[in-house]
Amino acid sequence: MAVTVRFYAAARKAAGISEIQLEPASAMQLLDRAVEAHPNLAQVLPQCSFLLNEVALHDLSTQVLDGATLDVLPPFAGG
Amino acid sequence: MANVARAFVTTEVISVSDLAAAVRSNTSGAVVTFSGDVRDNDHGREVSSLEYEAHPTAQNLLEKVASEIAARHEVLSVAVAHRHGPIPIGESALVAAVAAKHRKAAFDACSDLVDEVKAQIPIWKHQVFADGTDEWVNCA
Repeated sequence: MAVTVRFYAAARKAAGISEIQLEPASAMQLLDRAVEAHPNLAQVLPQCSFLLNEVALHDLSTQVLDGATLDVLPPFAGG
Repeated sequence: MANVARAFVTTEVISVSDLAAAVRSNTSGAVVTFSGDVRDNDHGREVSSLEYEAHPTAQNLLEKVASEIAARHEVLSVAVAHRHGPIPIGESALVAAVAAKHRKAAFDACSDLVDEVKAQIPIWKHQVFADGTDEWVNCA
């Protein structure tokens, strides 16, 4: 089992991939592992907001459980 | 309590007149529309093509924002649509329409609606410049 981390827009460009699978961990640990695997993410992540199973996540110490999805959203630019 | 006539994301062309018609009624004395259009320039550089990407939650969040605006202002009806995918220069990316009994409430609510969409909806703009370089807007 694993969790899915999905990257959108500029985060996907920085990662070079749209999603990765990782072992369950806290959101912060997952993001650290994502940066280890895809170092260019480090430039984008400080500007990003996050969704856990499509709900806003403000506390990155939250555990992301098996089967969950963590979304990485760069600053919005609609309109 | 005002109603939300339309709130949707789409890859199709958005018609300003369709949204205006959706909010208009015999009780409304003012209809204000806004069309956010794709420009051929950004911070002094020529834009050759542009594409928006929408998160899967964009539809639900757009409905939520429209409902909030309808509840917050003295208006009768609200409609909003955001296009994603590639959009040709000159076409609408974001369209909003608000009907109210009087113009001030319609202007205020329409402006508020556009501000909230830009702040709250997970949609991103990717533009390609004439020199071949590209950028995701708001993400240097």
